[in-house]
Amino acid sequence: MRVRIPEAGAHVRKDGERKREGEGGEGGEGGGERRRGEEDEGQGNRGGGKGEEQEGEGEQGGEKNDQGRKGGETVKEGGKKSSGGQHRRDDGRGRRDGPGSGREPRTERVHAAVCFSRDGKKMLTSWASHVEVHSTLSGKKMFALEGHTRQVSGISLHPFNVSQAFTSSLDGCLRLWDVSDGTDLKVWSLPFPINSFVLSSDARLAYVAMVKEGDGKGKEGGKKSSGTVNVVDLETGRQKLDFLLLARTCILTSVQRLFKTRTPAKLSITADGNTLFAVTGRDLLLFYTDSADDDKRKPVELRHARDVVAVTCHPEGKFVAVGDERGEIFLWFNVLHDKSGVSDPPVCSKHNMHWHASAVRCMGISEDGAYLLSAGNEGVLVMWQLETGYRQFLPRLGGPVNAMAVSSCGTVVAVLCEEQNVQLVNLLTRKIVKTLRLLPIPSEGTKGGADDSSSFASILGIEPRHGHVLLNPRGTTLQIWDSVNGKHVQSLEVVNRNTISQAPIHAEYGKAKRPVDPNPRILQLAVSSDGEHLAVVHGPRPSQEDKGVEGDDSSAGAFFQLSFWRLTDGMFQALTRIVNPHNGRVGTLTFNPVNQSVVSAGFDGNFKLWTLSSRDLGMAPPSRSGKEAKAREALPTSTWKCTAVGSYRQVPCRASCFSPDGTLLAIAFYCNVTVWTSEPLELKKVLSHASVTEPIETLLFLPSSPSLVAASRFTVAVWNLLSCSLSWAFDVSSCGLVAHPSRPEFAFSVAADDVSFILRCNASSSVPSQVWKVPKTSKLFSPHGHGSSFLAYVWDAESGRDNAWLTVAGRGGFHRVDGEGREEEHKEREIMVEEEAGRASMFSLAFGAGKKGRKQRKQQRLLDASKKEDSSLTHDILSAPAHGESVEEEDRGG
Amino acid sequence: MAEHGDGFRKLEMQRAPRAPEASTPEQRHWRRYKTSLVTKAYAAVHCVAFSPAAPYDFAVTNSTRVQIYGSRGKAVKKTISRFKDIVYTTSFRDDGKLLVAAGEERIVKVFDVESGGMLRMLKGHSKPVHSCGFSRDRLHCISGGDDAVVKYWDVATGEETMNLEGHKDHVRCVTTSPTSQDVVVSGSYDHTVKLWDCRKGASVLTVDHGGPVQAVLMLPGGGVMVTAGGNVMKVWDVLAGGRVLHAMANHSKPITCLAYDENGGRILSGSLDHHLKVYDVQEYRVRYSLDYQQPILSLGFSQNQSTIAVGMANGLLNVRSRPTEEEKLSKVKAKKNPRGGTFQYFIRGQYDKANEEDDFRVERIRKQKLAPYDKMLKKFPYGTALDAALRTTNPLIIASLLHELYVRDCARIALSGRDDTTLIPILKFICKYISVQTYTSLLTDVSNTILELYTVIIGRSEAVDELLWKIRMRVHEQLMMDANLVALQGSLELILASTLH
Repeated sequence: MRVRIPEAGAHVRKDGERKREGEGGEGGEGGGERRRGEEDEGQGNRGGGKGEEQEGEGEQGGEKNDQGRKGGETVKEGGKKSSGGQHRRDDGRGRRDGPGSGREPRTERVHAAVCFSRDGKKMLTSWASHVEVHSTLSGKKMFALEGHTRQVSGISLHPFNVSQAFTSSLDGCLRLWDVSDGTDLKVWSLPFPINSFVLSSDARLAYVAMVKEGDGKGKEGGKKSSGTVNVVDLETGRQKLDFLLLARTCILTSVQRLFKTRTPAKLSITADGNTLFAVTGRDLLLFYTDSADDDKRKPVELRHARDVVAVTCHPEGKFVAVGDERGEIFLWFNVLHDKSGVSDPPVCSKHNMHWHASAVRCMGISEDGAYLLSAGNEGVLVMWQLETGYRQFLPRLGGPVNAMAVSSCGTVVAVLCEEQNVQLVNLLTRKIVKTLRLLPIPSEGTKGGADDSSSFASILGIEPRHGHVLLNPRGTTLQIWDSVNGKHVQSLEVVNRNTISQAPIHAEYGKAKRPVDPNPRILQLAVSSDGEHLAVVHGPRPSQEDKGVEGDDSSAGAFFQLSFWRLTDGMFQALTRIVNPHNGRVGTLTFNPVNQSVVSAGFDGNFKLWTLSSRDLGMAPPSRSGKEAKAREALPTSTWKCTAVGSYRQVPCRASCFSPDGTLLAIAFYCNVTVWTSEPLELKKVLSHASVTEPIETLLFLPSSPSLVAASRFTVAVWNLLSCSLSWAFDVSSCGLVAHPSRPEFAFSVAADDVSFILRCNASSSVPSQVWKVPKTSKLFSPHGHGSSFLAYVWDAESGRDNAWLTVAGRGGFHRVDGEGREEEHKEREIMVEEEAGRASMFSLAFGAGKKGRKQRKQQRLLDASKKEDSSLTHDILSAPAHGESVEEEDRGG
Repeated sequence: MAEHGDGFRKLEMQRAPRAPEASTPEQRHWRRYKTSLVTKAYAAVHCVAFSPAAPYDFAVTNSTRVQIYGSRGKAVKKTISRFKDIVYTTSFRDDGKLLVAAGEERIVKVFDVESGGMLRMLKGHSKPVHSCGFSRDRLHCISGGDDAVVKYWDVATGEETMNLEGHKDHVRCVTTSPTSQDVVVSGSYDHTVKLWDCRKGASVLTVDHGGPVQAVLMLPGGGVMVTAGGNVMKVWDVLAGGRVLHAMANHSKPITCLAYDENGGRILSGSLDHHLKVYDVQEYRVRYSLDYQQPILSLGFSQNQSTIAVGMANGLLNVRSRPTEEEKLSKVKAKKNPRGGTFQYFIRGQYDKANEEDDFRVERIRKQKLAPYDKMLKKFPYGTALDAALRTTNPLIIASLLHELYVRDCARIALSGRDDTTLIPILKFICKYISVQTYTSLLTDVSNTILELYTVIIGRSEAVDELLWKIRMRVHEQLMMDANLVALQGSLELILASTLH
């Protein structure tokens, strides 16, 4: 049985209707950061003919075509432009390339879940592979339900046992927990990842939507995943010892497939458990679980014009609400199974419920069924009064909303945002009553998304006072996170501007250019050694295309700001803001470890020295008063000023570093390292070598040793500053170079195919003293305030399991500080410690894997400083760096 | 903390970095002294002396009389004219009850300030007296005259108790130490400043100023002494045996008088070059300078920092004053109960502020007030927002909005779809500000966008064409100017280089 939406009325809109709605409904607070391109409200109104006229002209002009199309795109984003024809055409196109035609998936799958306990005092929130239980009264984390190995995809309370809850995960397990103390009660192991699940009213059956990963046999070779909806019997089933889950008994039970779906489905079920709703592809499927005869056990397909992505149903089955990928919400009535046999087909409401500009990610229904709540990418909670169509808004929830849950009392709704904070909203007052913050780690769904935001792109550094982590969860927010206690400490808005929701990705758009996030990000951050001062650079992210090219950010939108912050009364306050400190991108930002000065260097080839200077107060006569005096007192008493500008050959600069005593400053200009004295600022030496040809990205002075380490994309080189010669260098693509706080040692990580290695090196020898194998997604950090140890942050995005601060201490011992602050000595099974003995094989392993296709660099180039005849020559050459490279190359060739 | 869920954030103004402040707080402080009295007397005003006690009246000598002005020179309270010749000097006792004055007459006279009656006549000087004062014990008087003698008088008996002889030329200034009642300081035209011990009756310290000494000042604490002679001012460390701490030559003509601002820690000096300068006592740098019409002969500064009185050579007296804190407070009128039936009566209490402790305050939710362009930004019609910003004619707002539009990557949307009437304000703005350095880069981008969008309609509207032409000319002018400046810089460097070698 297939039902079509009558005359496609749900998605073809009339001009007048849209405009009226736009003006009237928005009101004061509704606007929020809603969508871009909505400006045609104004423009379209002013002169209907104008837009068309201009489009026509664009075609005349030939090269203006681009403009015309651009206009069209914006229209489609908003879904609001006057040109209805355009819209229909667009829809037509959408219909042509059906789900099977290898079209790129329009919306990324997001797995997140949030759920209230029955009494509303606890809240269960998915956090990667864990479920965290927070108290809604105090906002504190109580415990975590750990057991799943991949992203949790669903949480559901037990229908009648108030202290139990089911969770599902992409690892294919369904687990039952005791929510009062966090014990793991039962595990059902299913053959495929679970995308979504619902329980029957007696909790004997679970309906599970599973993901069948594609086998790469799609038309264009793309991996497409389809899905199935199955019923799982929770009562029967035999227990089995699962070796994968390590001595946990899990239950293998009968899984009966109900129907197949083209894409992994999302499920919803009525309170009596008789009607199951699933959204998949463009269809809403109704499945009557209570129908007896087999031929009726086929789902009813309700076809929509676009992919539908969210579903929720009225508990009594009065209606079911479906949200599609462009933000339109449809209500279907008459969906219950009519046992009398006289079945009217389900009908779609004629109400136009289109506010969201991009996909509706989650929906909820208030207890009385009078209000529908929806939220999505815009970060706005929309409350629809279903009787009247009246909308109310709660904007600025803080990022795209991934999941929501209505409490059983019906007045509080929990909204889980993408940056992992949970807002508890009182529906009566429409106010946020509490904010719970979890560690903001990009969920699995967004991994490898629009930008290369690996799990740590957002981790900027470590605050030296308490060892707190500085994170950039989104936009220009700087969040300070206590990693030991797992607590949110403080968040800081670096710039006071509204967040603009990202333009939705549509098929047309995806072909031309992926829309860039219009919100600036924090790009560079430096903390002073005492933790009192903070320097932050924010600006637009480098887009994918211009990543390799330097200094092309000349457009007006490319706007960078350097801001200096000082800790006053436990809060960071802005002292100085500098707009566009460099002409273009800022390559590096470093604090002097001894005094209050900062070096910033940019791709424009200049570096600047900023110092803190106090404002001249002069005689502040005691008798001053009034407005002026107050305004003056509000001004910070000290400001940061640029006191020196330097450059070397005007080549872009990416790295800088102060020596531990603050007297020397090393700045890398392309592949040359310049060494300056910091007081007075004078160029002392230029270090360059033929083996370093790539731009240097990291520089480090080693403590208690006259050595300088430089790392470019493919080389790690160590210079001796006394002889100004290269001690040694080898070709390896490194990342995350850190120095030991007291000894002349450093560590860096090398990425191989599926794991990465942390190499610990000494300044004197190119042979690593230790090598550790760690998960690929680990990142090294400089160990401010952590004694004599290296510090690595390890986050395994695949399993989401191994997220811990890894302290690499002493001789191969591991101190692993996990989320609860437990510190334990580990000889970890997945972290293999190889001592010096096995270094030869290990090298080939690490380097061979890292540099496939770079044959000429493959051999390890060791340059031993002990070669006396070489070093004197090198020294001379280094003194005249402009001509050094070719001579050096010849010499070595001979 | 800026939590999520707080209100709409208004458009952030892209202010250019602030230039160094045009005025320092110090300058603003001294500028607050407004001229409150300028009078012309018969002859030069040789001395201005402030009473050290409230209400800080001051005495002014001119010709053969001493006039006592009320604080800030509002009116002459008293005129003492019991002199037969020119009065050169006067001084109050530190309780403000007695006044001593002397001059060409060679007699030092003591007056009761309250009644104006003369109490004592101290005769002994053989030549005109140029400086006099009370000692710290209130019982003695000191005076120095052209006969090169400093005399120490007992006021009660009217007898001369001590004759401090040692100067070789006219004594021009005498003062007492603020800490010790036995130390008297005198400066003379013989270039020396002597510290006298009244117990011994002899000089204990002599320093050579290097010029005829006109004025001497002991700073509170008694350890530091400031002398003025010629156009040089010197600061001495008395305790270290007369070491020069600092020498300042900021005046172009001889310094005639000194005063000290105790609360602010500032030295004031007046000179014949018409200037009054203010020095701080940390670095002894000039912090402020005041101009007068005539050579300054005398200077007084009230202890409550409210008044500067300056006497000048041709008899002008200039009084500058500023309201003090107490006066400001007293200006706040006590509330009267309004008469019944008046308008005030009916609105009484309406604007009274709630008592913080006792009253329960009902929270009122204030609606955020947004400017028109902010309202539009909130609702996203960017074109309308730009129009609203242009209507404000504030370049800062317009530039900030344009910048925000570029950051949001929707400047094209805001700029497109305009006809000539809506395009002209933007073009006018560009034309006006494209050569202003802070807006140049932004407006270059805006004009590029506009040219990209509207090239095809060039020639359809005269006004638009004219403006585009104007912008072109403006850019051209600017480029020419840049070229000229570069040339100028080159020639300047040439000159500078040649002077160096």
